[in-house]
Amino acid sequence: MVRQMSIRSILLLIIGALTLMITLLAAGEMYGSMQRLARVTALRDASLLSNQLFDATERISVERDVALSMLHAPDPDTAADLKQRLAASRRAADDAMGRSMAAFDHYAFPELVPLRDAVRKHLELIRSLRLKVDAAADAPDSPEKRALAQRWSDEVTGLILETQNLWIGFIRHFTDIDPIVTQNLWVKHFARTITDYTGRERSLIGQLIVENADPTPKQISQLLYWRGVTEESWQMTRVLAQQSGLYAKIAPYYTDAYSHYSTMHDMIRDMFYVPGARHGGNYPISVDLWFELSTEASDSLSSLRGALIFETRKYVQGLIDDTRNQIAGQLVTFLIALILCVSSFRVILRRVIRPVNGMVDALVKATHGERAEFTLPINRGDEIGKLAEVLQAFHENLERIKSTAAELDRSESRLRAVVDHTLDGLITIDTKGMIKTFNHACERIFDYDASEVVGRNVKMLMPEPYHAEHDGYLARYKATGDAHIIGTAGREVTGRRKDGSVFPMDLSISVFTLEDGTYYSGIVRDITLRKEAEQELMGYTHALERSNKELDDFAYIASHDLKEPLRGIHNHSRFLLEDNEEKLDTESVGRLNRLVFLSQRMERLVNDLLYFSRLGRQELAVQPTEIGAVIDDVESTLDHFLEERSARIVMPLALPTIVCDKPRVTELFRNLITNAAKYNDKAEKIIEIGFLDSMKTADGAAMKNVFYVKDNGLGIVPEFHQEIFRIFKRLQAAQGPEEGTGVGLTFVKKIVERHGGQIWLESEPGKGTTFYFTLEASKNDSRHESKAAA
Amino acid sequence: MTQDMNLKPLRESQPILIVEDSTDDFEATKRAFSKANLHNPIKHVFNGEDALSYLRSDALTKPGLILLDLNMPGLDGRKTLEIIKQTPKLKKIPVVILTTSDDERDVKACYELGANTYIQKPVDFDGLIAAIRRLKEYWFEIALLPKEQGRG
Repeated sequence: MVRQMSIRSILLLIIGALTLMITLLAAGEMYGSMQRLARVTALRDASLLSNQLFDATERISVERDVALSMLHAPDPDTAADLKQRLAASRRAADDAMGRSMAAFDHYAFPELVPLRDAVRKHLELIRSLRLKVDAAADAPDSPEKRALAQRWSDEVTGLILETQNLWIGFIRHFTDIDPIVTQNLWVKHFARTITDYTGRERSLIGQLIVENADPTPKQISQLLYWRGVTEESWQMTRVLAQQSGLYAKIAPYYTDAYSHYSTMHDMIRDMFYVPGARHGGNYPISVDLWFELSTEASDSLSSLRGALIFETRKYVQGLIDDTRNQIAGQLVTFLIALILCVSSFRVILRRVIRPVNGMVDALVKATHGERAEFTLPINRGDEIGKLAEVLQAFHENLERIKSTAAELDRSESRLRAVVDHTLDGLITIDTKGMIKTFNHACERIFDYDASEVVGRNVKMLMPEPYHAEHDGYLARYKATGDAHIIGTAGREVTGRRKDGSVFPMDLSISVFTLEDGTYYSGIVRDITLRKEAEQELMGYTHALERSNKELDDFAYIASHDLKEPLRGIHNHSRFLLEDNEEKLDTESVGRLNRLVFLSQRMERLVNDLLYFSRLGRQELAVQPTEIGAVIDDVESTLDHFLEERSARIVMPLALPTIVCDKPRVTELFRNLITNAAKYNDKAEKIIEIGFLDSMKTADGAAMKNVFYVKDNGLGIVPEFHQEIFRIFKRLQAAQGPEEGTGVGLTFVKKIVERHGGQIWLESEPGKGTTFYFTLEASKNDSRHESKAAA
Repeated sequence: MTQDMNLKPLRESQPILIVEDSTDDFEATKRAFSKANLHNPIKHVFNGEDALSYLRSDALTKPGLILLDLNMPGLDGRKTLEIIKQTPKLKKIPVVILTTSDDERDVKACYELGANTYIQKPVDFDGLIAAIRRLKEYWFEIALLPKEQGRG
């Protein structure tokens, strides 16, 4: 399919080429024909002109004859009569001659110029002779008059010869156009020669008849010469006409003219061509008869000439018409071929050249990064279609690449902006330690301009011993992959500024590989301020630790030292009661018992205080702890306590195992469980313990990994939600010696805080309280399901 | 068999040395002894120096048990304990620390120095009686001591 389509394109090309050739050939033919038409037309014009010229010469010869007759007129009446005719013939001659010569002016053949000038000069001469002829017309016969007549006759004959020369020079340019026409022209020439010489003969004989004079020997030889020329011309006329095929058409005229000529000549032959034939007396022919005969002969000759002219004209016209028809046919061929050629090239242009050009243009534009507006000739099925599809794919790829590149540019400039505006210094070096990039922050940190360091070794930014050892580090890393610092989160090193000062900095290095090699990028942070802050902070921490230690010691010593006098008070009260009970009245015994009670209570307070101070002081001992087991443990130790209060613990879901200080967390749960059971007026006291992966507090904060202990007890009014965590804060008065001291929730809070957690509660008075808390120490540990406990 | 012959619990005839700087506490302890039916002879000294000089005096019968307070003026309980446990002739005498402190550091330090029992003095007298009673049960009925112990 694809190949066929491409063959079609090739066929189109061949047709296009063929039609182009035909068009060119037809155009060439037509050009040749048009040239021929021009030449044939020129030939016709030349033929017409030669006819005109022959006509003119004939008219001049008529003038000559009339003038001669007038000069030789026997009487003034005849002369006057002839003078009239002479004027008419003169006008006709001038007119014909003038027209012919004007027509010759249209031809610019250089060799015609002298011939034309000769004719004109001779015409001038003829005109001047005309004046003399006119002047001599009325004069009596005289030798001068005869001489004038002779001269007139010679000059006119001379003019006719000049015109013949002009004609021959002229017609030479047309002889190669058509041999027949050329031949016919010669036929006409000879026919005219006949006219000319028979005219001379007629004129001389007429003169002899009028004068009734014997021809002189010179006249006889002249007549004989003329006769020879005439006879030869008749022969030539016939032979040439026969050769050109003209004769068949003019034969009647020729025969008629020739018989007239022969008849006339037979009649006068003995009278003028034989010397001394007349033997005195008048000629046996009157001048009138002679002119009648010669006029008849002349008329028949005119008919012949007319036929010649007609036939020649017809022939030339036929040539012209043929050529015109030929041109018309050639024009049609040319036009058809041209249309075929143009349309096939248009098809080629549309189907092949334009798509290919368009694609080339699109490719060129695409190469220069411009967008070419060009409809691709896709879905054609041939190679061009395929090429177009490839080009389209190429275009789409290019567009994608361009947009990717633009995106990359944007992302690159974003990245550059980030890199430039980041507060951290960013340095890139190659494996030789040469600095490749150095961002704004680096300029600030090291006080160098990027241009001062890029291309130089990075060790210029390091003090000793790094300065000396850095090349070694790089070489070692390259060889062994052994790195001190690469890939670490950051390391404290020292840097050197431009002024040589040294400062602490945090450096993290990563390695990356691009096409052109391996690079190291370092993130640099001047940590002078941080170090100072750290120093300061460390000072504070030490001070705080000292203060805490002192406080703990104080709490320890105080509680210890408080206990001793307390014990004394207690014991003395006891001993007093034991030893002197019978001596003491009831009130004293009561007061002493009260002393004993208060000292016991105070001991508990001191112990709690001591425990609280210890909670803050001692390190957590963390271990993975199953919270479910912790609750079980608390439940079993509080067994009696819970049973007494008809309280029970429920755990709807398994509790996780977390890393925490187990004894402290046990303490935490014991306190919460105890409180939940204690401050509860419900008949059935339910303590629900659970764990939530995530939850939202009442004020909307999102919390994760939250434990809760929920009771259905008394509840706590909102104003005490913070109060209750205060040490020794109790919401209810102590009911007896077993009552708590109000430190339970304080311990709980302390334990939660020591684990990095938070504690809060939600409560509705009368309905119950839920304590929520987190133990951050567990946060990052994987949780394990513990055994479910109910 | 020999061992059986040599190892016997503390006997009532053996004196008990109480090292206690507070007369109040000493009185309470003495009373608690009688409440607990512990009738051994009692020797009371007020400080470590006195305790050591008493223990080092050859003439006297060595005590079968020493109750030692920790916080005392002069040579305190810790130091005294250390010296007793480093003295070959004395180190086998059981030493019961009876003190106000329940600080873990104190407890740990005392056991490391060789203390045999550590009792925190309760403020409550009944608690003290209970503690002494348990002490008696252990040292007079459970723990076996070398035969020559307690004899001069």
